[in-house]
Amino acid sequence: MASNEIISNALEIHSLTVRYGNTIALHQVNASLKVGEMVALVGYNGSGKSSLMKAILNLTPFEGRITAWGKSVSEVLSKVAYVPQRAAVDWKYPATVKDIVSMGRYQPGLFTQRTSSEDAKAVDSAIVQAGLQDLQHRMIGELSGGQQQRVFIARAMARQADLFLMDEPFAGVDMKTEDAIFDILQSLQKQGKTLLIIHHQIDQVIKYFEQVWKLQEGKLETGSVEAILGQRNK
Amino acid sequence: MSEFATIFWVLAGLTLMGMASAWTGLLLSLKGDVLSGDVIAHGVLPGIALSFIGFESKEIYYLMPGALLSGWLTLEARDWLVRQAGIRSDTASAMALSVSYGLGIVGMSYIRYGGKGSQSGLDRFLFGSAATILPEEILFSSLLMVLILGIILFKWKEIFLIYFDKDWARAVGFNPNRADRLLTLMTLICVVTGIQMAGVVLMSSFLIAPAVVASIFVRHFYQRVFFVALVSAVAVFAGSWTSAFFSNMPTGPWVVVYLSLMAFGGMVWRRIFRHSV
Repeated sequence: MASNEIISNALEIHSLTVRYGNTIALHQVNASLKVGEMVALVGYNGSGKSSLMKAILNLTPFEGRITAWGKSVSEVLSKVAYVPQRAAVDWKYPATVKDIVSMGRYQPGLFTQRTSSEDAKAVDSAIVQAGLQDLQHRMIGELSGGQQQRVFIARAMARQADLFLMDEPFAGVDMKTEDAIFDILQSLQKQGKTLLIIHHQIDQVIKYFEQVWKLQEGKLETGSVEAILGQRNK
Repeated sequence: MSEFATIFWVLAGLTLMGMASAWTGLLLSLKGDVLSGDVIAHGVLPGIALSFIGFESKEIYYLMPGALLSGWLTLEARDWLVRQAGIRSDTASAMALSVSYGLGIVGMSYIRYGGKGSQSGLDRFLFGSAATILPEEILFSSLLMVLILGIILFKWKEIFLIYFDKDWARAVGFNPNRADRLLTLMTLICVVTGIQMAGVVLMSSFLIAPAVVASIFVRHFYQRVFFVALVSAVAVFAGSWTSAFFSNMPTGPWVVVYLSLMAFGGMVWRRIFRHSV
């Protein structure tokens, strides 16, 4: 029974602790994400949201156990897609929208990267889903903040992954773009994808999400928006 | 060797070195670490001096291992300063390259005044001297350049991905540290093979200037790959012609002058036409 439960969950976090020197960023965190769930991860600055995401992706050392579909995340990396913060990269990079989305198809460990017809289809499909058809040959430095965010989401979609981890995809975008991004996320959820999304604006979490993970002083509370944030969805 | 044959070999060697350096510099600019070329170029000097003291030979085959090791150690020292001492990368680069250059000059002085034979011929590593290069040295350099071109041909997509977003690359299973090591190796090879033609002081121009010129005229990376090669070849040809036409004119510095003129011309052109690339 226990093993069935583990496999039915897209993500399982057991007794996760993350330390930076003497500082404990996350302490004994336990949580799970069911397949097809879309959950907002909220918390104040420095509460450990990014540390949690980095631990899931093995980008920072941690204690405890993290599994995706019952396996270590490194074993199922091809099924995991990550959307980092927009500010994390140099947008003057000499690349087009399509170049960046195509990166979603590159596989580690190959002598050289070749683009198959299947890769080309996945890239085109991700571009269409993210509404970037008219911008695909545009240099990334010419895009607005919202368009840049959609490029990151399209790159993640091109991986055709099942678990999406997103670090503040709504940061610095206007309300119209926010709705457009949420439509994309909802369509991913309808396709059965699982999404964990860091969000820092509680009013938007209440508007868009049903389930929430709240981090406070390195500890995690999970549940419905109503139970955790004390407010109903609008 | 006839004058024509000398010009041909110099031109061939410089063109190959210039193009491979330009491509390596383009990748360094993607990484945002073009100063590492300058650090390595200055860092090879102590290795050259020590190798000469040890082997008493000015041939590149004897000087190369020491130069590679010393260039690599200087870059490692720069990175150590950034990681452990929390010093900014540009400050650490300046410290590492100046200390290493100082040690190299001390070594050169010891060779000159310490009874270790004539320093004549070693000066070419300081200031560059394309005309004194031997055909077999050009052949050797060419093989190394082919290796670099092979790395670029097969690995550029991976490097392109990694230097856009290192965290994302790590998250999906790529190894940015391996890309860093590969790029360091390419830079080391370019510098060590190119330094006798361009000299430690000017070598970084061969790495950086074509990428700067390309960034002024063309926007996309693919276009820049072709453009840096073209810029480099034109500058090498113009520099070699000037050196051959006017007596006592050095080739390497003239190449750098033409590269700088192209960069300056490009900036003026962009200013006039308000064309933002």
